[in-house]
Amino acid sequence: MRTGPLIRYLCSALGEANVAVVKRFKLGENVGEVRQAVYNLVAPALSILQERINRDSRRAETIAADTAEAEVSQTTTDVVETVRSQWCAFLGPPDIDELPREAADALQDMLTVVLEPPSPSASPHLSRSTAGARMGERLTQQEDVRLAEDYAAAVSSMKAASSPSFSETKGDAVVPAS
Amino acid sequence: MVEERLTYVNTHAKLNVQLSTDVLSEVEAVAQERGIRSGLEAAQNAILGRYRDKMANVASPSNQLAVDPRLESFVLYLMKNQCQEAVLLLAILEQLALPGLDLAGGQGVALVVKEAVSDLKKARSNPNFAGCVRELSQWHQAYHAFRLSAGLFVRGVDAFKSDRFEEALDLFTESYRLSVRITENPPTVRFN
Repeated sequence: MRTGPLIRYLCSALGEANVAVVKRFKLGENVGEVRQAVYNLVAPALSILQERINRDSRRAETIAADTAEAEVSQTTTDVVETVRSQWCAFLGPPDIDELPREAADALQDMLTVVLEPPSPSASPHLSRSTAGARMGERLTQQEDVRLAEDYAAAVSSMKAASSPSFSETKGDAVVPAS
Repeated sequence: MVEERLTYVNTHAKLNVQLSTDVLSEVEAVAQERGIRSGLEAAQNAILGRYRDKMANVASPSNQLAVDPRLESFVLYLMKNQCQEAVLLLAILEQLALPGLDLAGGQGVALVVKEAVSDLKKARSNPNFAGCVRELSQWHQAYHAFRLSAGLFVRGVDAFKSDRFEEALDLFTESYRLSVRITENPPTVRFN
């Protein structure tokens, strides 16, 4: 399955989104909303990446022989570690001492899913009701008609704007062979 | 008779309505000279030939296009998945039986489309063809998920470029889940 490019983009989006969610938590914004963001956005993405890390560790030799795949694998590991470290940083002083009770409880919950994200199939509570899940039901007619062109443009534009966190893609299919 | 009410037959056939219209116009003379049956077979073979040419071009080492041919056509998607010719021809028959296509040309075109509709009904009710029909139906489901996955990826890139990272993450996650679902649950029926 050629999901390497998609994983690169997912890693970049996760890194950026987590920074935003952590910032909201730091600023003391609605704790419930922050917790929802972690459960509905961060944890499902972490779950996917953790599965890939586990899978990659079982086929380390194969991955080492493929530079592109090794790069994606390393990026995945780096992003997961970064996300976790950003949440674990709250455990140390002075943050942990200054957190209100509600926030401290939420932090404990969030750390649990960030450090050990349940497999999507084994975690009904992570069944998603987010915009992406809802939008995943269908494409608009206009999107459907223009999909081939828009997909090509999306791949090209992301290659042109490649950032250090997800360098050059190979231009192969994001979606699998089936 | 097996009806294709809840699948995506017409949605996928519409993707290549221009090709269908062009080919039907080309074979109209054949239908008038050698009969409707010959016209329909000529249309099916012409479309299959065009798709094979397209696949050969895509496979060429000099082709650097980012366009994924599977997103351009359901039949190209079937070809990439090594489906049997019988399945491909049935998909092309669906393409030619698309409602409204009979109005795309003259009397000869209308008759060829009518013949395609008739053939499709016969195929769907023929027990000897049931495996082929079931396989194609499952591929329609898979192709629907495949296009959704690609569409969510496109939306995700758009959101990412606009610094809407949480939305992008949501869309990429859903795109990935769909991709995995297709891979882990490919069509189980294989027509040989």
